[in-house]
Amino acid sequence: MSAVATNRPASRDRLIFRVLYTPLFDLARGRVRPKMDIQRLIADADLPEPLARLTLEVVRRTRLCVFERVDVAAELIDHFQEGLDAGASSTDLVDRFGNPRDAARLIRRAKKRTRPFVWRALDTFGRGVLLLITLCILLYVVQAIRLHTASQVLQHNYLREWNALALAIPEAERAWPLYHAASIAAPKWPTHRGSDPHPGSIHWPKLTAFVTEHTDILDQYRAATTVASLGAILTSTQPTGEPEENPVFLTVLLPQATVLREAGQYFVVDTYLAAQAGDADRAASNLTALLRAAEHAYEIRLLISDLIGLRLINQACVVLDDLLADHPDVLSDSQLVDLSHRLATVNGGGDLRVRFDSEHAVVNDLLQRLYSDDGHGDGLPRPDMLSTVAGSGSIAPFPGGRWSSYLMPVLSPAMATRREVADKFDRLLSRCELESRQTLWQRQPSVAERELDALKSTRFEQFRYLPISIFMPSLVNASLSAEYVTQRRDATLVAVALQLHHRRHDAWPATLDDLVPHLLPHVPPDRYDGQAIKYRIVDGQPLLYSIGVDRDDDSGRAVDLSTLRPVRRTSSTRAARTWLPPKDEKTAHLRTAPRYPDGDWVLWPIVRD
Amino acid sequence: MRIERELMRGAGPVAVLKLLERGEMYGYQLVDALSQRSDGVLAMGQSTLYPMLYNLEAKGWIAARRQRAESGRERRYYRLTERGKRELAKQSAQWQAVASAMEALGVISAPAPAGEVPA
Repeated sequence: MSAVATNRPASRDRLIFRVLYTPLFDLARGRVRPKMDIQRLIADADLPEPLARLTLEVVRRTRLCVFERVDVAAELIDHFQEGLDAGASSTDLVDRFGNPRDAARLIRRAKKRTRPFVWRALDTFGRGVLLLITLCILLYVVQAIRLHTASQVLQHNYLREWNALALAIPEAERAWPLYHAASIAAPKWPTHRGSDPHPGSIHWPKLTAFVTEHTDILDQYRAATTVASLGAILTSTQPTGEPEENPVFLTVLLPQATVLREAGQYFVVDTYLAAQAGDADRAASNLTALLRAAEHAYEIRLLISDLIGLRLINQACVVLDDLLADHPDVLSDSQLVDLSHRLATVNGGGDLRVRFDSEHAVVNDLLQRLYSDDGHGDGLPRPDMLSTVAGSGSIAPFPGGRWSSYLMPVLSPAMATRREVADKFDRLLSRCELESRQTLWQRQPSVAERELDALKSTRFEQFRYLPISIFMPSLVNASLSAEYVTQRRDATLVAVALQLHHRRHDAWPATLDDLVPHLLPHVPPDRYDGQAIKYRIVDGQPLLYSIGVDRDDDSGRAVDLSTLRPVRRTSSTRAARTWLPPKDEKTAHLRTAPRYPDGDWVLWPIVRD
Repeated sequence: MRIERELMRGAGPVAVLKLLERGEMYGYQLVDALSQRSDGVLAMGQSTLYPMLYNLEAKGWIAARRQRAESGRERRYYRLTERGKRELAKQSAQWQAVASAMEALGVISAPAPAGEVPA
């Protein structure tokens, strides 16, 4: 009789096979019984080959678990053996059996129903998990394809657009080459650039020696300020040093900021020196140069350059204030009037402001690089977004390396689309611009700042609006700086008017209204209450002040730094002017309520602690 | 006569339950008995029988056990459970009702009285 047993490979008798097909329970008891070897089972049954083949085929097709297949095989073997014993031929038994494929399908279905509930529950759960995984993989692939096939369009070259105005200025009429040449020729500034030079400072001897030694540099800087336009062409360089065609606007280099600040330091030191020497023309020339440098800084139109411009105006005011207090007769009437006019009209006159156009350009430039473009103002995050932004800010807990692009199909659904980010950013920036136009007395806690803080306070929102959370800075302090300098400038204008009045009448005016309209068009406001700037005569000398952040009139008394709680390293001027929300009786008792420094913001003569 | 598949699907299980009412039987025995006792009308291939047995087992109407026969061969014997008995009674009543209705409609004829020769 031809049987499958005769076809059984000898290798199946090897110990390894026998062990492999032995149930664990038997193995645990030290028995090697290959009960799960169905081929062996069929072969050992010694069935005729057609029946053995049929049995094996049906059993295999059932795709049941091994124990169930062994069970089915045993039953079919029994069945066929009974048939053979009853005298049926193997051909008859095969014919009467029916379609093996249908049999296997039905047996499988029926056998599965006999499985225990726990097994079926686990099976259903496993299938569910498998289905879920398959679905996830499918979604991942679809999203990966969407992200990778979405096109990126660099529609704007913000640097080129920014430079268009400067490029329109003929090269010969640009001041920047003169500034640049002076800065290259200039030796390193002897002190920290952040500190304001002043005759009372400990570095003063060093600074005077330095500026006296380098009057050629000073002359070059002064000459640069006489040119109408700065004409600075902004650039960005690759690591190779080659200029880029359409660089990331955020990476634009701004050597102008450093150079203009340094030029300002030269002018400040030399103005004091000129005043000490009684050289009125030189002093006035330096002060004019400071204001021209401020206008050059404004011409760049970046937020940082606007802040440099404010700093230069503030320096001009401080120096002029000191001159009026310490050397009141150095500058002539006409020089004072001329400086006063220049100061009143610097950067267009009126309230000084900082502009946020560059922030708009920076973020929109990033959006066109970090998102695809569907041609209708929307788009998906680029696969390389995380690795691109990782260098500029924290994207924890996500990795920023090249592997991050594999995460993007998973993470991108949690991220806002290009339009959503752009809308959110526009809304925040518009609010910032609106708030920046408010004077100190009109201001309330910034809603834009609160929204930005809220966006940065939760990981989800932070990640959802990644370009905003990383690249949008707090703009409140920038707009406050403009208010502080406006107050300083207004006080200087009044101080000049007071000096001119004193020269003409040999007495200080009783009120500031006496200066209007011959010496002042109007009395400028105190930025903390909207009323006229405060004026008093103390010991026969005039005093100008603002009521300051505590918003009550302390008769021009400066803040006593020793009373500040918590103790702060600051100046009385800074303590009194730094904006805090208006007092609120309802929340005054709370620990979080602001503590207002008691005293006024003394504007002129300047108080130095 | 070959019975329609759908009809067989309804008749097969109750036939198997009825056969097992008398005592336990093994697979081949059931196939043989079904064929012989129904004159081949309810004969079914093993490809149908075994899935049916597993289904009945899953429903708890029959139970199986392996036992060594006198011939020395191990067989899988099936027996009717209590639930199977209740199910058989229920299905028998239903079949009776169907047969009566069919008879009333003339679809099937009443069995001839003893001694009477059908026309």
